[in-house]
Amino acid sequence: MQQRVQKTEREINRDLLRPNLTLQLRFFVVVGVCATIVAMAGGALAYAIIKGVGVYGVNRPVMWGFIIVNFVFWVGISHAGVMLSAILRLAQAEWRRPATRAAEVLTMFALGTAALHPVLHTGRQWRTLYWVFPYDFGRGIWPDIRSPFVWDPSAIFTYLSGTIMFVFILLVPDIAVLRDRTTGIMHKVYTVAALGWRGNSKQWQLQLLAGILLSALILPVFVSVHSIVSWDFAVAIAVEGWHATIFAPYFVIGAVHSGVASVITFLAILRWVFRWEDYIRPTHFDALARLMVIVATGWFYFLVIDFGMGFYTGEPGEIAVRYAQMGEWPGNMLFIIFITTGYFLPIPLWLLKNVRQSPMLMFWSSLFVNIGMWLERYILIIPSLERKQSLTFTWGHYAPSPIEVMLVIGSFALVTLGLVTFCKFFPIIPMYDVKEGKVLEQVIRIGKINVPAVFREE
Amino acid sequence: MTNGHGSHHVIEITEKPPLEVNNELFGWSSTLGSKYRLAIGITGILFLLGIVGFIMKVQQNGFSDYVPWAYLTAAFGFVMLFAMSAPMLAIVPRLARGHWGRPISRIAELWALIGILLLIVMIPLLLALPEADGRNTFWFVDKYREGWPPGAPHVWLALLMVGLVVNGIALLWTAAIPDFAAIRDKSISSGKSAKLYGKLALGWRGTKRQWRSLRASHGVLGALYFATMVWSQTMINYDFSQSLIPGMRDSIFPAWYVISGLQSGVGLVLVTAYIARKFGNLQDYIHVNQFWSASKILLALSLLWAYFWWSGFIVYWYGKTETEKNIIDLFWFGAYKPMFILNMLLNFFIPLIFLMWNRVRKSDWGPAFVGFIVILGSLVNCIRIFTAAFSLPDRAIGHQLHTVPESIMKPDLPDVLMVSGIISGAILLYLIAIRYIPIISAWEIREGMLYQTVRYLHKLPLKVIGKPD
Repeated sequence: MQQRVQKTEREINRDLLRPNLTLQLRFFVVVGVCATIVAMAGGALAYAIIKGVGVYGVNRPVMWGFIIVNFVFWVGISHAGVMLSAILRLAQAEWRRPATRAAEVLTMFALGTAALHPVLHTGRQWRTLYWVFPYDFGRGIWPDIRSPFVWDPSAIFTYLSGTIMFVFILLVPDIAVLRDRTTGIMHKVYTVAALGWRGNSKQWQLQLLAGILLSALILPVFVSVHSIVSWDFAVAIAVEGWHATIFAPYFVIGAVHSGVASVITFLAILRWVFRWEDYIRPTHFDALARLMVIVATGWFYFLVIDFGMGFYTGEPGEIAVRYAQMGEWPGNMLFIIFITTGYFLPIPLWLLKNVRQSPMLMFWSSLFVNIGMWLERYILIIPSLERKQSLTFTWGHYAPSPIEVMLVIGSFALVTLGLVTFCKFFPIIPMYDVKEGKVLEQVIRIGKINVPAVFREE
Repeated sequence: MTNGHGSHHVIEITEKPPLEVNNELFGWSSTLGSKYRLAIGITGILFLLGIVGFIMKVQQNGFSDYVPWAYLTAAFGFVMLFAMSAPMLAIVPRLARGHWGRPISRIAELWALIGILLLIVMIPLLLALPEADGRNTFWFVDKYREGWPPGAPHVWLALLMVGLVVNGIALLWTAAIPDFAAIRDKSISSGKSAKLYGKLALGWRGTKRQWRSLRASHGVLGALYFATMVWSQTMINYDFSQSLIPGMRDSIFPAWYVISGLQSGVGLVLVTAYIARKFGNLQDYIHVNQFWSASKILLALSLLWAYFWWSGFIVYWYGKTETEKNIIDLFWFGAYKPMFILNMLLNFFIPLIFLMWNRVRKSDWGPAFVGFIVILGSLVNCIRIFTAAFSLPDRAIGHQLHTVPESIMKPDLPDVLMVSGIISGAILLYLIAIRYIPIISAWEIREGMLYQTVRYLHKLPLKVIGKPD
């Protein structure tokens, strides 16, 4: 808070609109690289469509591989947006202001990318529609609405459409600023997108109300999405290690853990690339890190309970899964990396103020969290399916194929491409929110010390 | 004082000279009149009757079988849920620098003292609790390593509880040190009382170093208390409920139980704050803002309570193994169905229906009423889950639940006396504590006054709150 920087509205506009109003070579370089990788992934997908799912590494009994692991990972990342934006907005946390849009936009692209994965996984993508829509009323053939596989697309698309609406509504005042500073075709596009915004009091009232309403309405959707993803696993009784009642909140809090970490990574990159040191300040990283300590510790509690359940029951099947996850190669190596990078390395670091306030260290530690969280999904999904149980003839093994690896890399490039493109055309830091924050800033003098303060409407 | 600042927009803020704050809050207990004495009398009698009930129970049943101790376990679990979770409402706002928590932090922390009573009540329960052998348990006894760790679960549960209680009392004590020092230095204490407060104040002089240590201790003890509280509730849930049900493997059950505890802890603080405000004339310190802020947490916890329950239920519903079907019958759709419905009403639907309205949240009565409802719900909850677990016939054999009792376990006279006795004992202990420890943390109020003021934004008076680093 002591790091407040005094800026006029004109300066805020100038700084935050710079990426939108100027052309920079590095934008084309990044877009070019990402587009190439996405095209390569597209090629890999085309090959998989022509040849069939045999080109994936999945085979009986491990029918879910890298693509489903990556699906769960991206759904998890998408939980950053609502966590940071909606909850912190409702809680009137002042430090949220520069981070909210980055989180929402990350949600939008991560979720869109996640939604592709089940389709990629099926091999015959056009048949995926059969899961979702009733296709033969005459013979009474319906998708099984009792299955979480059917709930999944509904939840994801509700969350995706809600998020897009959320991003758009909160973007309108900033689009109007862009409209007034552009010419030609872009001016026309921004004019349409600004919906006639003039910034009068009625429009602000509506915008504020819409923001609060959407924040409150999207919260249950946010929780439902990853809960339903968890039930894809948990309602099955045939796979050891999956049929756990804790899966829903465990998945949700794990998603928030990885999602908020990815926002930290993204903010650190934005600060570095656009030189926004005056906007994304160490104090914001500090607040995010404090939040992460709580979220990560809650997640760790669920992890211990979930893994402990295997030892609680003492059933051979459960113990075999836990052994595959933690005791035998490559599970043990992956588990050590996962638990170290996901919890034991970042959390002690984030207890130190110097680390919390260092964008560089926060960048690396948050990146580590997501390496760990990707591996967590792998550890939860694959060893259970390998069925290292008493009947040895059912044992399986999974190794990802190059096609799957390419698709996973492509998903990262796709999300990056989306984010870079968004940053080019829209302000990634909400200008009106930052300006509002400036208006609410105050100082209280206690003795000889000026304490940062804010107006708070109760 | 409620600061209207000449507008319809009411801003509640305490504006008093620091000395007046000290005088009012330190002398507050001496203003407690006949109602206080009546409350002490009633709870004291009920507590004594509870002891009588306990003696009757020991004579009737002894400790060889744990089934007769179901209701005492439920009462223990209930009091532990609300009393030991209540201090979280002091810890969380303090760590999050929420000024709204200042007037209710001591109200919340004082409940940690009830841990002393719980430690005593836990002794017979541990004596009756069967060995871990042959049951599912988190302890490794007879499963992987014979007899390791030694004394599990009894010794380790007791140690966990002792850790929680010591931590809670340390939290209360350290947070009250500046107040003890102020009482020591005031004329209202003399002789023995001055000596006592002098000892409790641990030589506090208010130096910079002492303040730094105090703040550090808030962080460390608060975090430690949270962790210990969560694990104690988790292990109580496992050892006194889940592990007594053959084949039950419900990983969300303890987490849901912890949420239930946090929910009733917040409810308890709201009820206590309401009583202190209304009947203790503390309106100048405990404002509607405290109810408003805490009620939002209560609403969130009520939603979480339902979400956690649903997350567990749906997996059991889909699993439909024999044990899962029987557990569904045991807890939800069998003999305990009416109690489960009551639970859903008290812990979820009523809090949701009331607290979704800002007008209700922004009152003192609304959150306090919901808090009371939630506490009632927790009592029903504890009776349901502990008596259901204790009522199973084939408790220590095999890992499948084959039969479910057709009726709920009914309490006998000693059970009723013990349940009312332990609840009354908790209230009695709290009432005695507020006689000697200020119910509102005077130093936190004084500090809070420095960080809050009223200024105009354009023509609108608004509260300005300081956010120190």
